[in-house]
Amino acid sequence: MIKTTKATEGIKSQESGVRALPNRHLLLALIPLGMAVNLGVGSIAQMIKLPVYLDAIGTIAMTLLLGMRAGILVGVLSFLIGGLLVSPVLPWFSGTQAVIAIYVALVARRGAFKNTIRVILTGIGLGVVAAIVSAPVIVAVYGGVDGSGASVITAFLIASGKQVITSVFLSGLAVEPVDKILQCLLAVWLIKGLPKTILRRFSGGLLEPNNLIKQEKQ
Amino acid sequence: MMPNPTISEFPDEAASPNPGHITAVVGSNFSGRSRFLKTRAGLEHHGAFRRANHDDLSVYIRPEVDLSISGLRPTTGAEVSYHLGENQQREGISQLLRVAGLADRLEQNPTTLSGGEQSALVFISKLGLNPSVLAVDCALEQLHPTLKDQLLTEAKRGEFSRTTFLLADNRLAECAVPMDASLESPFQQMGGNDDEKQIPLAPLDSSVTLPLNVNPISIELNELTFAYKRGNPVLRDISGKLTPGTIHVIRGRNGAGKSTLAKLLCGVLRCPSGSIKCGGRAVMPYYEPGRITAYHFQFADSQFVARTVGEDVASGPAARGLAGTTLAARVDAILAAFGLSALKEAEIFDLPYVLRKRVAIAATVATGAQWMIFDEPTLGQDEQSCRSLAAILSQLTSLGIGVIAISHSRFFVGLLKGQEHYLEDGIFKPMPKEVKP
Amino acid sequence: MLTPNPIARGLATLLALIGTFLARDAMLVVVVYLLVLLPLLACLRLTRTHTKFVFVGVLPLAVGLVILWGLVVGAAPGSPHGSAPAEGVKHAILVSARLAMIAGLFQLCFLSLPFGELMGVLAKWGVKSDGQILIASAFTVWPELQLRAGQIVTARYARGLVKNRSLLTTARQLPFLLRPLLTWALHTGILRAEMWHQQNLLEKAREASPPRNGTVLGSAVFVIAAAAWLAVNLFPLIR
Repeated sequence: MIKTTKATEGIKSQESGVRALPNRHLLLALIPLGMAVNLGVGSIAQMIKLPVYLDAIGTIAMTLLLGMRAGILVGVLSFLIGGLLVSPVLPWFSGTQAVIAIYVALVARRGAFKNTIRVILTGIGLGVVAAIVSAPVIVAVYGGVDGSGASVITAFLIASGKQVITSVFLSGLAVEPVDKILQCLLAVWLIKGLPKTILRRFSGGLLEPNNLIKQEKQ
Repeated sequence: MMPNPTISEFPDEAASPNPGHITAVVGSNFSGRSRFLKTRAGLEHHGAFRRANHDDLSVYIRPEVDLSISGLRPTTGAEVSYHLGENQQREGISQLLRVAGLADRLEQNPTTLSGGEQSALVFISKLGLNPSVLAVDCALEQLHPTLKDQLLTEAKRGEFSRTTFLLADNRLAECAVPMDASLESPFQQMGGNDDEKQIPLAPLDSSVTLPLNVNPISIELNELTFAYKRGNPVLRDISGKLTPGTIHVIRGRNGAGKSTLAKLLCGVLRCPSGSIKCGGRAVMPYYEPGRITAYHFQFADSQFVARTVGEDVASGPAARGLAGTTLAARVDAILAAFGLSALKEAEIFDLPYVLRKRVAIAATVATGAQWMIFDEPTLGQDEQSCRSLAAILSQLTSLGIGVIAISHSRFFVGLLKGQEHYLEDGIFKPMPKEVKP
Repeated sequence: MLTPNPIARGLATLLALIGTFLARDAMLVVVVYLLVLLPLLACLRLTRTHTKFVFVGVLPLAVGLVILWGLVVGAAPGSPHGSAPAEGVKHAILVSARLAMIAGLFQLCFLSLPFGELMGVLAKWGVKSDGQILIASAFTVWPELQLRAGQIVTARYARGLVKNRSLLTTARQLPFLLRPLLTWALHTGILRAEMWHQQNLLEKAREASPPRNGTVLGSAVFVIAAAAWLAVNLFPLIR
């Protein structure tokens, strides 16, 4: 029987802790994963031919967890790199993703995701903003009709004599709010489903004003 | 504590460096080994015990090896090169890659390697950083014993003489490479950090009677063949009969096809040629997955389907039609057997690795399937837990359930006293001498 | 022999992209795509990647555009509806061909290099190491996420939660993917960040392999070809 030694005895002070993790590392690790979630959910929706895009859930969720800058990077980079990995259409809409992150960050500071009614109203606003920002891109790149569900409406509006940019904007207004309401609801549902130990890492940001994390009792 | 004739005595100071030597960090589950390793590697600090010099690189490898892959490079070779950078131990690292069988897999995505291969890759990559301390926390357990011995032998050679190795491993007694020192964690009496303090810990209890009742059936395999990529068969003409009433142990080197066979039997993978008969009836498990055969994955984290412990354990029997008091009774009994009763409402990802593994096994047992496959069920589990687990598996066979265990651990296989099958190059072969206990 | 240096690579790609965006002649774009771009991709062994991408990302879109512009609108943009269905179809083909061309150019620029050299090229373009890390991680994380999504669905099969496996039942598992996928992403990200910090792994990005310098001939050929393409498409617009 071999003697096994005890290591250093006596912990002199009670001070313990984990070496602090710099924010930079956390952002660099999480942004690519947020990008992958954006592309993953979006391509699943496209694959099963859902009438909604669902391609900004990662952007919305990461904005709420990590803030505006992270959200912009998730959105823009996912669509730029998605142009290589998923669909050549995506890079044109990186600007829309950036605007989504900015909008979400600004309204979330005022508790726009606090309850279901607020989330729905936020989704409507986000849909209008997305329709406004995407319309010029759709006109410039496609001439107005981009083959999406909304563009069927656009095509009929153009055929009925309306101007192209107007038709694009109106059809966007018909489709985007529904898609964005769904995405905001899903993002909130996803965040609420996270384990507590993970959620705690993101306290002090946009989660508390939106009741997405329980306040720590002191 | 099992007698371990390969550990030699060592003078006391746990904090002193011991380059080129392997120090075993011993103890049972929750005796503070992980905390000690993290502290020595500088991830945590506790009172007077902290790493003095943060400029010197120290590395901690956690039990979940897939989470130790950097995520910065898309191929195995690029992953190793990234870690190596401009360090000088290329020859040593190349030799380790050859020993681990990874030298011809350098173009493969690291996340598609098998569990043991990922363990080897992570160990080699982190060694390539030329750290002053390499603290390995049960990350090498899923290696085949021969491969583990070869890697540790190579690691102790000249090129890595700068590195102090600290190794926590529940299968150390099966290691032929002598440890140069052994110590216990200084944190045993300390109590956990804030999170762990709140986790009620209970041992497995094999005396609990499991309320499971099945009609025993045999499985017949006939010329099963499977390949992930055409022209590269992983399983070749596997044939045999597995009868319930005895534990079937499948052994073989890392990457031999053990997990692939398990996935075919469970129905996760589709069998392109050959046949499987259960109870005399030809079945295609792919179309009724998880019905006849339940499968406990080697990587526990990839098999959870619910958020809390209770929900996950209940999911299997609930899908089979159990409800109400019958379901509750089964779940409670199985939680009690696995020491998880107090954790029924706990969120799975809030628990440490050791407990997550137990939850995953419990969820498989709870399904009450006629056959159950357990792929490396003792990863992270100490000696006492292994004994309890072996007793639980024996109870399953006495209830008529067919049990298949996949394990590299000679100790655990010895406890099971089952019928052994050796898989090599995709077929069953006679057991080689080096593997026999 | 014909490898452009990093600056030439970037410049040629940019010029070619602008040229493609300005193109108005559908047939010209199709011809250049078939006779120039596809052979180039073939030389660099990117045919499979590209055709898969085009089949999944561009062809369905092309069919939709042909129907919408050719049948529903029945004209090219700017013309009265129903006045020229053939022009509408041409416009649809132009848009689709432009997208396929742009996809091919991006793939030619970024995927024709071994991964380590790609990081070197980004460094030459002035992308800081944090940007390189983000881009590198994006490429490694995407297959990881696909694997993880597969594991989540597999877990449901193995637990016996899916009776009678079929395409429909597989599709029905997809809503169950979302929460575990985000949990996995955050759990992995946090632990990965800790590991990077503890092992100083991010500092190693600076040691990424330097790009091949390329040849003067290669640089000149690609830049001149791209500039010519831009000129061909710009000229009719200026005239």
